[in-house]
Amino acid sequence: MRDSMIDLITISFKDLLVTISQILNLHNPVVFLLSMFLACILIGFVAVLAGVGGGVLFTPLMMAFTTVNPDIVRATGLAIATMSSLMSSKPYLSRNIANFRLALFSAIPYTIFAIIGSIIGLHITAVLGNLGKNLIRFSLGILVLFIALLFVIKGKRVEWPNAPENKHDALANTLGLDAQYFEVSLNRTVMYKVVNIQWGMLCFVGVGLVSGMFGLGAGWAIVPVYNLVMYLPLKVASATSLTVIGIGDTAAMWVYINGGAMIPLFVIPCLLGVIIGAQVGTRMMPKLKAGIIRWVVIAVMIIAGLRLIQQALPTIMGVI
Amino acid sequence: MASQSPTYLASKIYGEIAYWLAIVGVAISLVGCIILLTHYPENATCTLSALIKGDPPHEILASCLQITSFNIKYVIKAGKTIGLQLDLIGLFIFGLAVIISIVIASGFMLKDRVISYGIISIVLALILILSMLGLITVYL
Repeated sequence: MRDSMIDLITISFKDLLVTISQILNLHNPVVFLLSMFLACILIGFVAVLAGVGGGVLFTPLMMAFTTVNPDIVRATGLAIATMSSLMSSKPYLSRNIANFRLALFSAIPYTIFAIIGSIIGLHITAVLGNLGKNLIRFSLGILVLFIALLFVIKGKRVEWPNAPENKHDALANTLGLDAQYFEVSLNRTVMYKVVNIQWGMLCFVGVGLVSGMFGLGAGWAIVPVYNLVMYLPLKVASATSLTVIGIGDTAAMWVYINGGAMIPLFVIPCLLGVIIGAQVGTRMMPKLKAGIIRWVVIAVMIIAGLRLIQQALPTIMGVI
Repeated sequence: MASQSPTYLASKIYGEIAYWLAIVGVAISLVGCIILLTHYPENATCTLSALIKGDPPHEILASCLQITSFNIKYVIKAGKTIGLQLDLIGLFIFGLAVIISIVIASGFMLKDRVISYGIISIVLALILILSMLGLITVYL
């Protein structure tokens, strides 16, 4: 009974995709290119309004709903994450909101493990073939569901976290990581101290690995680490995370470039689409209800996550 | 205003250079893509069709773009189409944006005697350069 239900859902979903692709004539290369461009504008637009990076939506959606090779999708996802972070971090760096010292320090574990993650990801698909692709799909599906859950409980983030009075981090003091910035909304300088460096760096090992392996930006993980583990104000956490992603994902991106997975004819329209969408989204943000869009994004991520798992399970179960 | 940290100038320079180099890189690649689409439609159509079919990247490179390696020096020396050359030069500049910015930022930090962060930046730049040179890679 359960199997026939799953079969029915799978067949209906496949039929739906085939019908959509026939209506849109997606097998025509030019139509495909334009569709990708328009889809990426939408991804960039929605991502900004929902407060997430373009890469975190792009990779699962493209892997779940297109036939493009997963290596190419992940390479493009990393390029999108890198470009978005480089564009967004510039104003934060020039206004001294991003903690550049902390970003450099955090970027070391993040970068090393993003490279290792990308190598592992490419190895899995190169050595295991179809099974490897489906293992990546399955793991990404689980990860996307987890990220969606993180967005649901986003309210737990603290705008102005206070590190415990008795908490002092000798390493942070030695490295001079405590900092200050001018908060316009308060019209005063906000000083903050950085603690739990060792736990933060340990988290960056895992986050870098995941980012490189799945070709995702990692703002969804870095911001909570800075904010909840290392007690950085939310704005500083977001700004600093952008700088870290720009550095770390560049390194992972080179692994994909040298591996031949970066196809310019696919990467460039997608990059431009996400950038244009993000710019439009930023301008329209005050006029739109971001709360509703956030829930739409969560729903889309849940659907993409379930679809990835559903695509991968038959192969994985068949092998196991 | 908050007093500026000794690394402020380096961070500002890093942000500006990385931003503009990335934009220049993407713009060059965009020109390459347009040339590829308009002047070499058979290559472009083949690439896009292979993408739709889900072909692996090495097959797309070999069958549609007639290259066996994604090495920029190889592509330029081999006299490949100008569209492809611009595509790769653009991607190369885009990938180089952060590396150049970090190297310059580290120079500013060392000049301002922020030695520890100057060294951290150099270490990061070295990791990025190793990755860029293909010393850390997987051939598909």
